[in-house]
Amino acid sequence: MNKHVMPKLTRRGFVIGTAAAGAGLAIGLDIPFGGPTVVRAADGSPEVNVWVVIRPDNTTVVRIARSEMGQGSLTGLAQLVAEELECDWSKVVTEYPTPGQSVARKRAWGDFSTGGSRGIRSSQDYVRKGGATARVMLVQAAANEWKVPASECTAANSVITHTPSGKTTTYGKVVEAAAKLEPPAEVKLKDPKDWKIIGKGVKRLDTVDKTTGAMIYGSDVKLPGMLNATIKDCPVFGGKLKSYDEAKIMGMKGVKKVVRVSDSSVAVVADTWWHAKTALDALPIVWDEGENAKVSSESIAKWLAEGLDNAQPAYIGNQNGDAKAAIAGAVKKVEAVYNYPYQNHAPMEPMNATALYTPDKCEVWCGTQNGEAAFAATMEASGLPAEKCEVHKLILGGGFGRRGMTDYVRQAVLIAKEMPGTPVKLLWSREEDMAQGKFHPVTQCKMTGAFDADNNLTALHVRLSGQSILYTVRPAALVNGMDTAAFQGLSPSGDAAIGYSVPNLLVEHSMRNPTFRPASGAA
Amino acid sequence: MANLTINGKSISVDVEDDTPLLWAIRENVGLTGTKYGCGIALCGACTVHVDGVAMRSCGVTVSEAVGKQITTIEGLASNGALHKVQQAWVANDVPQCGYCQAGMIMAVAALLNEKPKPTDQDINEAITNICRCGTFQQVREAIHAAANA
Repeated sequence: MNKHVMPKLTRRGFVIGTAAAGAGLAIGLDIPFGGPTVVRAADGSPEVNVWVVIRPDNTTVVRIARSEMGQGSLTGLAQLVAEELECDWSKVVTEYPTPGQSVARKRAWGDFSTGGSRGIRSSQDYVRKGGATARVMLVQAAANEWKVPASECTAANSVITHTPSGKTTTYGKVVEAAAKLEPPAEVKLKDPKDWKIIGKGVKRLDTVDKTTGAMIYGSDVKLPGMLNATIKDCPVFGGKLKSYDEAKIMGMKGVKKVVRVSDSSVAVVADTWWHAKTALDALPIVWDEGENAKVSSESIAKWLAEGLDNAQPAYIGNQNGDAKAAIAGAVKKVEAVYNYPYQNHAPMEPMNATALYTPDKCEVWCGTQNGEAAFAATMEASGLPAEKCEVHKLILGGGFGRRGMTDYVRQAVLIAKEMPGTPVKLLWSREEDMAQGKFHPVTQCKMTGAFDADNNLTALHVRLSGQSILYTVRPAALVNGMDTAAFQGLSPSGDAAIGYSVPNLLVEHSMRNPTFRPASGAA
Repeated sequence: MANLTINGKSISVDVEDDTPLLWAIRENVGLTGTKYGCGIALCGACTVHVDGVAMRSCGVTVSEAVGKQITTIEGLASNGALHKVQQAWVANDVPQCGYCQAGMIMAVAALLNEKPKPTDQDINEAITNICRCGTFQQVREAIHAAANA
């Protein structure tokens, strides 16, 4: 049955193993006798390359670097590899490589980040090549065994056939030999017209476990001796934690520790999460809410409305003719102001991460849209170097951009660092999730249209006023300060082009990046 | 200490009487298919059956559940076969992220016990679980498929 292989939830269960008896960590391990390097998965099966592991029973394990959060990339990426690999789709399973392994292997799996609908788009080329390369090596291994030219052999459904003689073998039988071969320098990808799996409506690989309760999400992680934590960060962004009265809750059932996690947050660690939550709710906390406590929906609306004033500076995203002049001289004008509210991502599964810290190793288990960012946060918060850190990714109970952030990972590590050797699962309450959202920005837009005597649209002025997502999330993507993503659907050309021809058009963005709220991507 | 009957087994849990059933199931019994979404009985991710009735387990205390038959998503299949609602979910590829689906399936299983052939109106009224991915249309189709199975 198709299945996504979850990380083994034991403290040391997810190191890459080796079939060589008694050998330890096998990353880059040279098998003795001078043979080439064969890297093995935890069960001893060889990698043909980083994307493809084949077991003796012909099960194909496809490695998926991007994250599954309901969008289906886990299955889609496996389809891309399987198509080129010519393996038996009914025997495909998937697993996540870890960011730590990727770093140790010179970023073998490339980018882990999963957002903005880029997971498949930005990796389809190299994962298909991964599948094609593995197929060529498997076929070559069979040809070598038969002492025939590889060009006389074909592969389909994990079976290799020597056409002239009719001899057949399977991927599972030749994989050991294939894994020792040099990969081909160039591979030819299939013509899309020949695709049998890509683009077809196959069943998702992860459905059954999602209907039986067997799927393990980050919040379901259980480790031996694990404690549970929950946290409150200052409810006003930019505010500080002034003080709290720990003595009031230390006698409560199950409470183990109260941790000042940062200058704005405090966490309670207890035997169960329910005890941690009950105690945190009872903890007297004094916040210094700071300047932003004065911010209100009214003050934000007023501040954005200022940006609609043409006298304020703005970036021009699209322009033709002279919209302002056409509007000024128009027979008829229509003007409307639209408001788009802040939106919380609000995944069904509240933010969580489990961390186990010792001075020699820091491991994190979490759902994340960006494994490498979670890994970097683990390094930073633990103070340990890359080779002593690891992140084990789990299926996400929704992401929507929120889990591209790593605040919850950092918090979990900082808490676990106060309790070396004890795994701690940090789970936010829903209330905390709503309070600490990295909201999709609030925006206003003034649309002014001009019409001639026959009610034809002669000019359109679109003036946006609001926060830039890229300014916060990817400042390097700004173009001379301008956030081109603010003009999606309004740009002069490309995928984000406006769909209408307007004789006189002006589209501009008054970028107003507040100090009172961080931003993140699509909600 | 309370004795609960979960998926046909008697289990004693060492919790305070007012502990939400959700957390006893997840943390003390160790059945994590029942999910925490909101904690205030709004989202339905924690739906279980209590004496056959769909209940949001975050809003039921352990003491209220004593002496009752509790069924969680892990106990819905019988004799190794998925429940017809689970089968319809698989056949229709309903889940996206899947986090809400255990609660959704439990709510639907209870609905079909009560109304074997629910109308869209019945579904709208009875199935108020929240899915942030937006699988509602697939959920509706799968409910009809299960009803006609």
